[in-house]
Amino acid sequence: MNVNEYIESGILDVYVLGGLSPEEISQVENYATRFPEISKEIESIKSTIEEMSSRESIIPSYMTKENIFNKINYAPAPSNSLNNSITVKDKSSHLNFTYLAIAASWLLTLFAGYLAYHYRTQWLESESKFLTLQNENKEIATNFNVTKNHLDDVSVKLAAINDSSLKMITLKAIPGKPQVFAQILWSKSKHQVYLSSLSLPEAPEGKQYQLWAIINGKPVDAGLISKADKEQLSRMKDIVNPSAFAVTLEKTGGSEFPTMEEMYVMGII
Amino acid sequence: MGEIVKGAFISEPELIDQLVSKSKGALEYLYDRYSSSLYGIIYKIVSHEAVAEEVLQDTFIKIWDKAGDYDKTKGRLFTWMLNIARNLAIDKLRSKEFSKMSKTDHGFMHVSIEDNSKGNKVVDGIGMDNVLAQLPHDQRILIEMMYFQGYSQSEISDKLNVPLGTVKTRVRAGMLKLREILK
Repeated sequence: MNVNEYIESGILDVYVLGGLSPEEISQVENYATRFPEISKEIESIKSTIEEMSSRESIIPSYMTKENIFNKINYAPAPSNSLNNSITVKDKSSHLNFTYLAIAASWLLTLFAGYLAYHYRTQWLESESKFLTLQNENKEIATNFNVTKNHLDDVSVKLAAINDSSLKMITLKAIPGKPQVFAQILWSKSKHQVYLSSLSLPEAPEGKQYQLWAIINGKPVDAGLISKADKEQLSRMKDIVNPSAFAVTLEKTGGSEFPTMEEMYVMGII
Repeated sequence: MGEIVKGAFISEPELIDQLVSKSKGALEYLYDRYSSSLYGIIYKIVSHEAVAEEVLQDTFIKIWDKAGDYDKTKGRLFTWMLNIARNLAIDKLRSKEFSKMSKTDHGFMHVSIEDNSKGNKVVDGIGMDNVLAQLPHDQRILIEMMYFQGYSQSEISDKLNVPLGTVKTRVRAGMLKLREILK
């Protein structure tokens, strides 16, 4: 037989991948004992499979381990030595037996006391470990949620930025007002509005900035600007077909109509 | 009776001895080391999280119960464990209970082979695909049907209408390429 041809036929690979019939398997195993090249090649193929599975491992949930260890059958415990000693001594004299019984009961009491103490300590210890773990778990879950919310937020914003119909509109200071500006991102196709940056003076007590869109010559509320919005890309109200955006200073909670004298910035699309 | 220290290395024969004498530490050692690899394979086969975890449990229980059957002349311990995991997963995949449960179209039962030659619906799970995806499609599909879906070479030859010899040579070419990739 030509060993090389045999190896190159692929039968060994099929063997390792489990695609052979029982007869074919015994033929391969028979050859493997006779030709070291064949058994060596089988080893290499097995290593490839092993390598592939370790490369692509997934960590199972931690409960799985616990379930397994709860389910397995442990070897029987060694037989009880206390029982043995009593049956053996049963044959000795009556007096001896009495002494022995007293001694044994004392021992038993001591032993039980010790066990109670031992298990209680262990129990307390496990309980505190359990509590620690539980707290750790909670903390991880909280951290995870915070991170996830943050990530969701960023994903949404990233999707908005990738929108090809997105327009950047710079809102410039109105003459007579401080030299400030704001920037708006508006998606023509999705109608989303984002406030991307803002350099307005701090709103005085009881006042709040409000974003307006001008649609068909009329101002439409596009959302209130909170302090936090200044630091990040904030989603405002959706707006269809605006011709301009403007920011005014209004009473906290916003107004139905903009106060024109308090308009700070404006940008025409 | 030697206890197994966490993180310490232990030789395979020693591990088997401990396992046969029912040392819990030995099983824990195996679990810590291999559970994620085994789970990866199982998940790839059943593509269902809860089922995969059930199969992983059965795998370790079988390893525990059958450690005495392990024959070191037939290969490494990991290969033996991998085979147990794969076989249990394929059994599960083919069980009535599983086909009833999985209403979604995953697993080999519901996707016809004709689809596979065009797209690659069956195998778009996670994980393994990163490595396997680097193989030409005709090689990849054969390896996956054989290893992850449990088809024999003659079944594959019938289903795909490819001669038996070609099945073997394609599997061979794919496995050699995998070996290259994994180096």
